[in-house]
Amino acid sequence: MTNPAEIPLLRVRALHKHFGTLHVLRGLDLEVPRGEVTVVLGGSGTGKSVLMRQIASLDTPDSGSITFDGQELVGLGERELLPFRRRMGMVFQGSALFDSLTVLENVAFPLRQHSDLGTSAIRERAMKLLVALEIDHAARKLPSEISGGMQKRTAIARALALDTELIIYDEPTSGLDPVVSRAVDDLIRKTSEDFNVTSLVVSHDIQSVLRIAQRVAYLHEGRVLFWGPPAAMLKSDAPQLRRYLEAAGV
Amino acid sequence: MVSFLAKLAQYLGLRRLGDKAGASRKSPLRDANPSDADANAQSTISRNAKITRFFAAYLLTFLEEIGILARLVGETVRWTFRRPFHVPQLLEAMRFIGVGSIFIVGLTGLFVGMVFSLQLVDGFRLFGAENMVGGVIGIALARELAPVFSALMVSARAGSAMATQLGSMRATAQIDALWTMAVQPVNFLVVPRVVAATLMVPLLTILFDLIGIFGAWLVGVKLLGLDPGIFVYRVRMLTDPTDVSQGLVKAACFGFALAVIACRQGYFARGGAQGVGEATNRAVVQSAVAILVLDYFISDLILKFMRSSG
Ligand SMILES: Nc1ncnc2c1ncn2[C@@H]1O[C@H](COP(=O)(O)OP(=O)(O)OP(=O)(O)O)[C@@H](O)[C@H]1O
Ligand SMILES: [Mg+2]
Repeated sequence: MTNPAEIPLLRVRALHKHFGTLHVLRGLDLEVPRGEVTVVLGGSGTGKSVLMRQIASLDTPDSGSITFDGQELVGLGERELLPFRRRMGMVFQGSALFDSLTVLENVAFPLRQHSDLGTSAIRERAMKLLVALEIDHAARKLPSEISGGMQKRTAIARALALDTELIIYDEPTSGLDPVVSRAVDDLIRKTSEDFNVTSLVVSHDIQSVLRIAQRVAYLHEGRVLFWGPPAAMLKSDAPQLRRYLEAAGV
Repeated sequence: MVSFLAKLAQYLGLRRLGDKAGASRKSPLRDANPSDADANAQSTISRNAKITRFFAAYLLTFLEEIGILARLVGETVRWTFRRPFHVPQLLEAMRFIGVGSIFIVGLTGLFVGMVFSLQLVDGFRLFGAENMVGGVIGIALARELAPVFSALMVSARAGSAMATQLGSMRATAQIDALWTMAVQPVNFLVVPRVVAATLMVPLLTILFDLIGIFGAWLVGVKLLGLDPGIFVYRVRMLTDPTDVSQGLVKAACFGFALAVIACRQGYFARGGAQGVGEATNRAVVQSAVAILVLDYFISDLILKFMRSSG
């Protein structure tokens, strides 16, 4: 515990969330180790997106704790959260790019809001990210003029702009064809390594999990039923997980 | 009667009314309603209970709506004076609301002035008072017509657009994305629009005043042959600077109200593309109602204030 590198970057403890009578998260525990790709796997409606929203502080849990780099996030006010928000990036399911801004402007946006850099330095930095993600050729296009896969790349570049330590991806491959899906998977893995960021990925795509995950958390009825490396998951004999794996054809 | 009110309520944007009325069936109000114990007893009592329930639900929804608006207003005012200031957003909103509305406000101003001149000359001729027309139109424009019509036009043009913009940003998670990039969305999206509308509607009102008087002059003097000297003299004699400033105070209030209503509808829109469409619709209807209702109460306040101070 004394060595900071051993504290997981993100730790969720006993998290509960209700919507009316619907008890979505029921005492969920999760750890996201530094520098790794952790995938949260689970069927539709098990609360994966709800969990991500609590972690990104877009919503407040009923009870429980979420610590980022050892510091508690639950209960912090809007302004106290700002420094943590800069250290986390989120790639939304639908990319959520600003549709009135070009690809380059989208990536430059967080820098313009938060850095003291001049216009040309911001451009340069944003352009570097576009090159790293291989979308520099589309820099001047609007989000509506590029494909879903390119939008995803732009969203990843935008999430990386502020020296992000943790990137949260909500279903990054849903709605993409298998070829593009695998390309996005590789991109997540590569981004994680090249930019030395920790990644938390929500998915119900078992192929993605096997390809990118260093850890898998399998969500069932609002709790983590299994947590460990993907190889161990395949050997797990928990009946709910077996049923999921068989349905997924693994 | 009840169904008419239901339609009206729906039109005013109180769509959750149906759900609320349905939900309240499980609430204590249900105990006051004997209709399921005795289905045949469609008596006046059960009808009254239904009407009571309807109004209770109506009132609840209304209060809830006021609460949401009040919270948004509070947050908007707080962030208006707090760093960071999003100046480029403000300038863009001023351009969109102000510059973008010049043509339509000018055009409506022209025709409002023209038609009032037409009607008043016709009416005042009965008393041989047609030379008063310039003055009366001047007062009417400055106090009422210009602020109300300018605000209605801005609401139809820019208010609806603001509701759609924010609504689609909500639907596609762009507002959530702002949060995750440590940008406060009310400060970034709502404050510039509300400030811009509060500043620009008065300016458009001045434009409306000027073009409206020009329209009245055109019809009264050029078309109907009023004496040009007397027309201008009456405008200047009867229309007081306080009439104009009274109109501008109102215009600022209308601008604030229409922007807050439009932003509330867009910012909290739910239910995808269809939800955005409904939110836009509600924004326009609610703004128009709010402008006319506010107009009465602000006029009342201003007149009381002027009587007591002058
Ligand atoms: N704001 C909300 N209000 C009410 N219920 C909600 C809300 N958000 C989510 N829910 C409910 O919580 C449950 C979990 O939703 P969530 O979106 O997290 O599922 P998911 O695991 O992400 O599923 P999918 O894989 O389909 O995206 C669902 O039953 C959903 O209806
Ligand atoms: Mg989801």
